[in-house]
Amino acid sequence: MNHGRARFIVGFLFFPVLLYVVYVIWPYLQTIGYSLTDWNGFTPEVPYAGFGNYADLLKDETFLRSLYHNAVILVVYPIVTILLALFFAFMLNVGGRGDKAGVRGVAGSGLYKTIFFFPQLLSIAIVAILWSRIFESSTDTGFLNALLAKVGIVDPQRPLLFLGETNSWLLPGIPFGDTILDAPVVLWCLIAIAVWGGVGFYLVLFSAGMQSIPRDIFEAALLDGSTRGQTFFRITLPLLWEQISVAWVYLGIAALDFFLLAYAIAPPSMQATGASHVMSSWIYHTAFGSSRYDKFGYACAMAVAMAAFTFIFALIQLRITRREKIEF
Amino acid sequence: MTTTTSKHELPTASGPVTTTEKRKPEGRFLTGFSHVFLAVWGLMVGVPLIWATVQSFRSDDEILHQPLSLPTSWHIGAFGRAWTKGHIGEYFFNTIVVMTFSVTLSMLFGAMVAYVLARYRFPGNRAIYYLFFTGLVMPIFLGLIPLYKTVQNLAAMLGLSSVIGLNTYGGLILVYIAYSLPFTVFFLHSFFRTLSTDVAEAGLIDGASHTTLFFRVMLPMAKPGLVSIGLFNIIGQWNQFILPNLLMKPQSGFEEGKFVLTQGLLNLVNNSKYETDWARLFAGMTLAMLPILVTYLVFNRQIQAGLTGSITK
Amino acid sequence: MSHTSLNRRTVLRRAAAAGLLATPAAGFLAACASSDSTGDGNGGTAAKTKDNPFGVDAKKNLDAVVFDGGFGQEYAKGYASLYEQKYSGSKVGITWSKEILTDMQPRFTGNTAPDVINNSSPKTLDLATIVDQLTDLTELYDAPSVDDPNVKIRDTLLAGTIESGLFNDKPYTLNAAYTVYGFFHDQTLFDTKGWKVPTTWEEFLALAENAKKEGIAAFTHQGKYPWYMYNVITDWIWKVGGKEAIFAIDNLEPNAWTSDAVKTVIDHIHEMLGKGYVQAGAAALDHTTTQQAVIDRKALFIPCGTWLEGEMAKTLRSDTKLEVSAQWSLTASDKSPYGTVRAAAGEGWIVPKTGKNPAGGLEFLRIMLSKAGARKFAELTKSLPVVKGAADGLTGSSQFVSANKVLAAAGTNVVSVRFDGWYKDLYTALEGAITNLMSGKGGSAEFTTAMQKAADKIAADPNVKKQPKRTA
Repeated sequence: MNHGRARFIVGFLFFPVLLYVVYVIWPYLQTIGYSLTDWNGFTPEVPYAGFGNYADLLKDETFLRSLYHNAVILVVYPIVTILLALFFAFMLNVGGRGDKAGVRGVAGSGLYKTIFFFPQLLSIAIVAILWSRIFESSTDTGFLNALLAKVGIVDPQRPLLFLGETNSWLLPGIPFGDTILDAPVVLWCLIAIAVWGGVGFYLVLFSAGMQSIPRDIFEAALLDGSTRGQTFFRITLPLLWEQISVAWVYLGIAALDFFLLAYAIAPPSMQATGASHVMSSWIYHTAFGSSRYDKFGYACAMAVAMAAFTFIFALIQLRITRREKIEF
Repeated sequence: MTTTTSKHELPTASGPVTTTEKRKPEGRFLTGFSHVFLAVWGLMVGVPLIWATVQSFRSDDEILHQPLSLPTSWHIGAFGRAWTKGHIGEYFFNTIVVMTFSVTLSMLFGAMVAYVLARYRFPGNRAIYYLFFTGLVMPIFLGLIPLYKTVQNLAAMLGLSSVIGLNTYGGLILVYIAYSLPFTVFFLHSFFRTLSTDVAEAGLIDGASHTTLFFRVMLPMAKPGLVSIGLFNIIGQWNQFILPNLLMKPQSGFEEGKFVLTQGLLNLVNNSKYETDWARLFAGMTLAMLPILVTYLVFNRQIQAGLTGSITK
Repeated sequence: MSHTSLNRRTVLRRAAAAGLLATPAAGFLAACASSDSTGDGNGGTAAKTKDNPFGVDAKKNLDAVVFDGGFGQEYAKGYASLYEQKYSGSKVGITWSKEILTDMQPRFTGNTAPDVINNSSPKTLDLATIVDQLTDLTELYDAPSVDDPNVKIRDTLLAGTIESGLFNDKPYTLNAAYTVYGFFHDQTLFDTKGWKVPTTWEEFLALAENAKKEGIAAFTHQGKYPWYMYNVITDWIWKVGGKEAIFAIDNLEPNAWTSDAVKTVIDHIHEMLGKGYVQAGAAALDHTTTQQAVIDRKALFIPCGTWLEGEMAKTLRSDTKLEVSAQWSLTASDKSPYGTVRAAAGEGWIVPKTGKNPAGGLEFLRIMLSKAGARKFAELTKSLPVVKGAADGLTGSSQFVSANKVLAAAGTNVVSVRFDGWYKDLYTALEGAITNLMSGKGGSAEFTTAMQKAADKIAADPNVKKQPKRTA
């Protein structure tokens, strides 16, 4: 039995793990290797450089500014997405009128769920085109500007720049060496796009969780005289804790990455000012567009640092949110 | 105590009437309120997509000058242009070939690994788990250059360049599987942990082998989880463009490219920088979006059901 | 600690070994392709003759990578068929690329570089990173031309062509097309309004005021892509401060960016913005939208290059007459006269040493520079090839004619800037400073301070290798 067990374990793990190690871990290990070199990414020879690249990280103001941007996203993006998704899920499942069948969702909730999920299905190229049109800085052709101009908020001579705006919004900029730790409007726009795309998925996730909460718990609470708001905080939230913590980890990892948005949607002008850079897009820029002769090695060092941040974040999240599962 | 009382009250004739009356104002207000919010968000999500689809039926002149109005006449020519220039048909075929294998095998391998890691204690279990976890947190583009060399050299070493090398279905399939594994394993791991152990034990006592147990008992029980992670993998691999952009390109002028759909779309996007044909771009976009949209609508129910089961049970 | 680094070193050595694995395989394939390969350094096997100066093996295939952009594909297919005609038995395989850098970097590191590359596109290969793997093109320029075996190729090219492709003082890039940059406008609109293209700042201000009254912005720019305004600003710096002002910038000299010339240029642009002469919102618009604004007669001038007409072909009006003109003078004491323009040979071609058929790569370029090849290029792309006289008598478009006129008027007053290619970080900083300027975040004080800081930083950065000082 024991022999069969060992053979089974090895048999099941061998090929998938091998595949994974060869195609994922091995390239990443090489990345770690390159982070200790002055390689430019092209030449056959790879000069060894020790830990100098890591020391340079602390002097790289744009990297630190990008890190700050990631921190802003890490706070805002998961919270807004989770709150919106929870809110919609609650509306869809408990927001309807109570009748003989008890508490239920609003009419057409199935349709809403389907529509809300749409953005998940779009490739980033499409999302980029859509949103650059929406944010376009013209009251003739820009969706939002045209709308705001009609209402009279925006002067056609001064359309809002949105994806082209470097001014910090909500958070004041903190001068830091030659750069500023800030939360530029363009960054908020990118977060808005991310939220727009993400809410549907988490809505479906939470909604599923809510459906598995027995109806009578809601009924009972309502009959007790609790308002829907109270049932939300006293019942829904605690019982959904597991889904929320999973969502938190996923969204956190996405917030620390954010590459496709910062690379494919932020215009080149914003990438040049650094206003839209997050760690990943700055790494990409450094690897291919910097004048350092050791750019690839240096970019690899940044990426290793970024991966370390993400790893630590995910571990912390998993520890914080781990808690006894509520059985019912 | 109150809980049981009210539960018992519900079926009686007087019970529901009074309670409904009592909560009517709140309920009506909330319903109206939720409809407004839901409708606004629905518009925010739906309108841009409809708008983009409508653009594919318009002329470039209209797209540029009246972007927000409906087309005066409907043109379908852009779809033809997108089909030829974007090679939608051919690339669609390539995408399907790759994904048939890569999604199926991602799920199979992911389930195998997750199951073993979740249900069996053995030395090195945690190490392997964290190995997969690491894959979740590394930025993908950083491993690109080494990955290219790995695919190239490994295939050459094994003498299989035309099977799993660069610009081959096999190569991309293996890479897709490898890059889908971390998330699949992570997701299914927590899932298998919560499955009841009784069935498994009963099966083993009955003399079923571990393998039989997995395929006959555990895998069917894990169906909801498999559905949801399957959806993830389909969406993820369908929209993937960093990996095919690196690996699925002709390596010399004498090879045919086996592009996937996202590359075709990217080509259309890039083309629009040099020769403006917006309608064609939007048409390509619509065509590329359609299959996955249909898949989603058809399987909507299963997906929702799958998600319901996956996390909570 | 030392243990870890030893391990990492092992990792690296293994990586290098893995890289080497590719070489025997590639070599093996090459050997299969032509078993009689003697390896004379060029990969060619045939005898070198006047008609075949690089000793091309007529049976060997040629692997080319060409940028698939505004020029289309026909012209390059034309070169390929000329090559195949001459060396029947060989085939030219072309791979089309939208981003040369993205597609070619793996092939350079993977030792499977093609035989000839059209290093154009929005993302090009940085010469500094691959120069060791490239063929010095001196051999090409000294070879006899296709049309007359007694004339060397270098003598058939327009002045400045070879120089434009120097790196470390050696020609590695052949720039094949001549592009004229400047301000573009629709002459039809000017004719109907009775307006004239301004040559001085004062004339521009007067025109801008008139245009504003009619609801037309006098100027617009491709805000999302600050590269266009970079051309405008550096051209004006050259014009106001003379070439020395640009040389100082190229050479990372202290205070190069705080010079009076730079201040003057930025102050004028700032004034133009302040007076509302620039299209509203242009700072965050893309090239298509702003270029269309000129065609739609909502804006008068836009900075661009002579690919504009081709790029906008689909949405031109039937009566659109795009013309290019030099940037107007800013002050009465500009060091370089009105008519100074940027005109540069671009659309670079490079020949990797590591390809399987580098002799064929050189021969491909030699054929490209023949009268027939260059003529075809001019006809198909409406752009000026670098071969003397190849486009004579072509009067395809208003843009083409005006570009020729501008070029003739410029004489030797031709702007060229180097730091953008030499020090990419400085160029990026400039894009950032331009973005801030054009979106109303400060004027010349902020601009010059930011740029000087960026330049000083690069000058002091030991990680950036410095280029020899520019004197011409």
